[in-house]
This record gives sequence, structure tokens and C-alpha cells, in this order.
Amino acid sequence: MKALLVVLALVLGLLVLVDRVSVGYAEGQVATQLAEKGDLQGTPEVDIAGFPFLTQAVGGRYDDVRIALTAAELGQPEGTRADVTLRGVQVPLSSVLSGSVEEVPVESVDGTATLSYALLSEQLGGDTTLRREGDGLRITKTVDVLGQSLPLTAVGTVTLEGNELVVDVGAASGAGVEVPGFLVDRVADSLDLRYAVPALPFGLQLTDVAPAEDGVDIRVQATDTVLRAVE
Amino acid sequence: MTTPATRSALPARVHHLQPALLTVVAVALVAGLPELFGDLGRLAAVLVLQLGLVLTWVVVTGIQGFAGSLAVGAAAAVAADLVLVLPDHPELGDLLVVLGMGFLVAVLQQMFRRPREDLVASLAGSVLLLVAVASLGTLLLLGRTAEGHDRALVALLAVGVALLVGHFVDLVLPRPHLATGVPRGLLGLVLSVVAGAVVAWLGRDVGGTVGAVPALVLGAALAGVTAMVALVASFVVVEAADDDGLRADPSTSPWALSVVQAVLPFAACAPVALALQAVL
Repeated sequence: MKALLVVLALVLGLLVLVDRVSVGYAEGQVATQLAEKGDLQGTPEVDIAGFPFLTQAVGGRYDDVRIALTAAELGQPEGTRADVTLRGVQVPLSSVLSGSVEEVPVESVDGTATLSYALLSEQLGGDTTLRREGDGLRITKTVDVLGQSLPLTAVGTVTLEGNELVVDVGAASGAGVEVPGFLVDRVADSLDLRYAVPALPFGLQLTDVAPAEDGVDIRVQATDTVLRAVE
Repeated sequence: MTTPATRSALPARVHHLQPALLTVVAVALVAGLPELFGDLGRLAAVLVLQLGLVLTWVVVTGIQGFAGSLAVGAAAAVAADLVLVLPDHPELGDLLVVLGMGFLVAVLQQMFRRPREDLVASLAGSVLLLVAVASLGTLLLLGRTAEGHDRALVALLAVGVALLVGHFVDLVLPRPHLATGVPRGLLGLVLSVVAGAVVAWLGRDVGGTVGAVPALVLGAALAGVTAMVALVASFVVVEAADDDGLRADPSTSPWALSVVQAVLPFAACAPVALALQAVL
């Protein structure tokens, strides 16, 4: 009986070893595929959570898969990043081994995309600079009024309107220079910013937005969606 | 140090014919009840096998703390089944919780019994029992794969036929011996693997077409595991019925030994079949 137990312990130990090696290999493969098919600049970090991995693979259903993309991998300015968590990912093992995975049903997707202030400034044009201030954003921009360039600054709130990120500023003031009050009131509205978030794939919906240290965090969510290769 | 050769006190016919008969009963249960009563029938069949194994394993291996071991084994069987039946998306990995909790309870049960003799051997027996009943629970998932219970039926038949062929060949010609004192031969092992592969090949079109080679691989792998575990089970019952040092109660019915021989291979093959169905 003791001998059988020793054999059982060895088998279980071997299975744990195979499990850890397999999960590492699978994460590497998923990361490589994402980099190739997503046309990324680098290989993202993929974490297939949960233990054991082999039983998830046999069942063809993965509880929790996390993908982290940095600015360099996305080819975007510093501070941009994306963290996506996929729950209930269904991929039959036989399809994986035969290389015939064409679509991946997923029970839910939660993600946070950080749009760096540099990226937003670039999109908004001019010499716009953005930085976090409390729960809002401080915007500094040079505007043309009556043939004069006036540097203005204001604090605005960040909200979502449909697929647009909207920064609505309150009172503005001159940035480092004295600007007559009537001029400031006249041009303050020009500091309001709208940034159209590109259409999201896989039925992802924008759910929330909040300023963060490096950029604006946009949260996305989808339920019962199907991931397909982008054509 | 070498272990003294065991000498079976069981007649070869009892060693092979009774397990063969019980194998037929086991296959009829796990294949027939799901056909008649669906998932409830499958649960009932698995529970019967699990509880049968718990009772006979405790008797045959002579685990100390009879009532406690029975209770731990039965509770583990029920818990394993519930873990695989109740959730919307049952997962094989959830059985680790049952095994972990079961191990702790088994340790406590062995530590608190009096007199505390054969502690390590009894704990080893309890752990093996926990793994076996949890493993049998995976039969519940086997019939619920996307391919349906038809492929599960083929897998179960391959295991059953491999067991039967092994027993019948070893009844007639247990040569060359695989272990001293155990009426098992290499010929029986090889032929049982061949038989399992043939069954899977014949059933390759059941429950969706499977290629001839994958079918043969599935059958041979299942039959190989079956044959090896059948050999282990034979060794366990020979040791239990050993003239020189009875591990089990001398009054133990040979049928108890046969239940272990018939059910243990199914326990080993259930997760293997599940994994192979996912791969092939």
C-alpha cells in the first residue's frame, strides 16, 4: 500500500510539473499569436490564471485569462496601456492542437485602456497639454482671439457621452499671462474637448472613464461575446 | 531489501471470473443507466461504483478505523459528485478541493483513532481511496462532453472489453508472469490492449466520426491503463488474501476482492478518457 502511495505521489508530482510547464508554453503561444495577428510591436504579457491548467485545457474552458499590453507593444506614446481580463474563455483542446481555432466564445470581458495624456494631446492638436488635477483634468492650450494668441488654462471634468470622451471645462484663466476677463469668458468654451474613442471590437462597450496619473483610464466591458481574428 | 513473494490464496477462477462478471455489471450500470435516466442515471451509476469501492477497499486493504474510513470515503464520493454536478460549468480541477479537504479529514481520523496502529499504511490506503473515488466522479463529466455520451459509451466499452479479455486470457494462460504470485501474464496484457483498441476502432463512427488512428490510439491508451491498473488490483487482492499474512479479515468475501478488481480500472481510466476525448 505504501508503495502504491509513493507511485501516486510521483505521478501527482509529475502532473504538477507538466501543468506548470504547459501553462507557460500556452501563455507564450497565446502571446505570440496576439502579437502576430494583432500587428503589435512586441509580445504582450499573458497570464492564464487558475490551477490546475491541464484540467481547464481538458475541459476547454479557461476561467480567467489576463492580457497586459504596454505602450511599446501597442506602438503608442509612453503611458498608454491596456489590461484585459477574459472570463469563461471556451477553446476546445482538440481545436487548439489541430490549429483550427477560428472564434473564441467568451463569457465576459473586462478591460481598462489607459490613453496617455501625450496621446490625447496629440489627437486634440495644437499645443494642448493635459494633466490630472484631483478628479478632473487641467488643460492648457493656446487659443487665437482677435488675432492674438492667448495661453489659457482650465480644470475640466471628464465624462463619457456615447463613444466620446468629453472634457467640460469650468472657469478658465490665463496661463502665466494676464488676460482680460471678458476675453477669457469668450474663449473658455474653446477649451472643451471631445475625443472620439475608436469603434471597439467584440461588442465591447465603454462603461466608465476616470483621470489617472499617466492618462485617462477608460473601462470597457462585454458579456457573452465571440472573439474572431480581425480580417 | 526484497519483498517476499506473495502467494495467492484465491483460486484462479475466483480471481478472474468473479471480477469479469462484476465488470459486465459495472459497464451495464455506467452505460445503461444514463441511457435510461439521463444525467440522474449517470449520477446513480457512479455513486454505486464509488460506494461499492469505498466499502470493499476498506475491507480488502484492512485500513484501520473501519467506520471512520468508510465515512470519509463515502463523504468524499458524495462531495466529488456534487462538485461535478451542481455548478453550471463543472471543472475537473474543482476535485482538488475535495481531495485536499478529504486528505485533512483522513489525517485527523487516523490520528484520533485508538489504538493507533498501522497509521502510515492506513493513511496511505485512505489517500488512495480518496483519489480513486474522486477519479470515478469524472465519469460524470465524460458523458457531458460536446461529443455526447455516445463517445463515452465507446470509451467505457473499450475499458470493459479490455478488462474481460485480460481476465479470460489470464484464466487460461497467465504467461509469462508479470509478478510473482499474481495470476497475470504478459499475453493477457497485450491482448487486452489490442481488444480495447479494436473496440474503439469499431466505434469510431459513434457520436461523430473520429479518424481510425485517433480511435485506435484512444482505445489502446485506455486499454493500456486498464491492463496496468488491473495488474495492480490483482496484486492488491493477492496481497490481501495472502496465506502468510492476511491483511484483510479472513472472513472477507471473495466478492469484495472482485469489486476492487472490477471498479479500480474504471477509476483510473475515467480522467484518462476525458483527457483523450479532449485531445483526439
